[in-house]
Amino acid sequence: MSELINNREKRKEVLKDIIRQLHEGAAVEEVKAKFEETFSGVSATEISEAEQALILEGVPVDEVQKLCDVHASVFKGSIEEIHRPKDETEIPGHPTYVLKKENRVIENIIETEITPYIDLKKEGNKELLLKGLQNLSKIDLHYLKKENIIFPFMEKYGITAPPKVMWGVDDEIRADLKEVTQLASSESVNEEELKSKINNLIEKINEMIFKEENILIPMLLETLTEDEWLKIASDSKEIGFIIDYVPNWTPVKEYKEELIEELEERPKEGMVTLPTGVLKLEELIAMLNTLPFDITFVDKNDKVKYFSEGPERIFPRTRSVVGRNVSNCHPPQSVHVVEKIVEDFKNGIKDHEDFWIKMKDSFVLIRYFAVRNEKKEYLGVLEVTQNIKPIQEITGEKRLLSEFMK
Amino acid sequence: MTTENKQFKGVLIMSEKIIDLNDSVHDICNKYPEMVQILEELGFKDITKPGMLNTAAKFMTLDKGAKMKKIDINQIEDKLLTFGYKIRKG
Repeated sequence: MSELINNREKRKEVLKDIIRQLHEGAAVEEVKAKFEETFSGVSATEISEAEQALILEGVPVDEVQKLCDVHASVFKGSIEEIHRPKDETEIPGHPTYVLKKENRVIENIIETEITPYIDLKKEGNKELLLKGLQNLSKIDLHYLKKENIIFPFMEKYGITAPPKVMWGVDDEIRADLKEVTQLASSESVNEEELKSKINNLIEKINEMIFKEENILIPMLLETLTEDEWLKIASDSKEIGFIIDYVPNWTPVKEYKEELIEELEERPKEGMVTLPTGVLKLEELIAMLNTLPFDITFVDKNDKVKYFSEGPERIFPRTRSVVGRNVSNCHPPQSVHVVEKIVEDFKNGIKDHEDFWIKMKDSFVLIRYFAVRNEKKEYLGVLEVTQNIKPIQEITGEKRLLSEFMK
Repeated sequence: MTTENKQFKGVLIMSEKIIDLNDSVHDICNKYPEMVQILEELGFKDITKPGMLNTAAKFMTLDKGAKMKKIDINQIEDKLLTFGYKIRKG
């Protein structure tokens, strides 16, 4: 479960906590168990960062150094050599892998098909340069994927400025590429002007590649959940790719045995008998999808069991999330909050918890309810999300009678 | 306040202002707000756009920024020194 949470910040916090516990005299075995339970792959860099953070917080350096010996034995074997740190950009087929591979192709086009023929004074270069520029126009596919598939996810998390800025530069690059292509194909070419314009364009493209790989991708990896990445991967196919072969990315599923059976046994049609009525499966599905809010049910084993598919889900879910751990449908930043709530529900400390957030033009109320049976045994958690902006705006009255009188 | 004033102030107070080239632009500017303007002058143009400091700037270090914008890292160091900052290379 936790290995899917790509949140260095959170891991750092937990690591710090573990080191602190050790410092306060916790048994090595105890901490070791917690470590193994929480982390499946953690890099030495991260641990040293956490140590740095401790030092900055005022823990004396020699204290931290003493800790090193202790945690070295705890972490032995679990750092890097056993669980290699997961770098998503190296997972074949992961959208960030694809973006980076495409960047390599773009660089290659520039290096082998454009730069060598930039001097139009040489005989025959014009045709080859035009061909190269034509080939480079595939860059559009790369930008379209960012703008139409990835940026909306960022906006969902309130990250609006970077996509806007980046989109602006994408458009500049498109316009420049178009301009130099026209210039290069015109009859009377000013070679010097064209050369400087092409160099300018190449510089912009290289800077964009740098921004994508050093800012955009790290930011995305820290924000998006695996299921959102899956959605991006599947939507990307509709736009297309610069690279010829895109490996199929199928993250390891963690279905529990019994859950697989449950899923396989589910009836495809039939009747559902409830204490207060009998519904056709079709009716039940459509009814749940018609509710004016989104629901998600997570069972007592923290596995996502069901979500409604209303026309405008506030937080997108993909069907692949069913059967998987709850951590997959929350952004890394908030997943620990959700885990805490679930824990309180299980322990009977709480029965519900509400959050409300502003998202663009909506005001979203997110409610979590503990679901219990008649014996008060915990069955799971129900998440209900709704845009309550239209409800908040309601004033006055609208009665059946006043409608009738019109 | 102009940057000249700030420069004067920095020299005058002589407080320990340390900047690590591997710190994120976000962290640097949170610690030393005057750095927003200084970095913009150095060529980090997007920094003043609303919403960039709290997002993209978290992933941008001076070191990376210099590479991306093809700014000589020495130029950045020089400028920061004139504002009274000590440079640390991570």
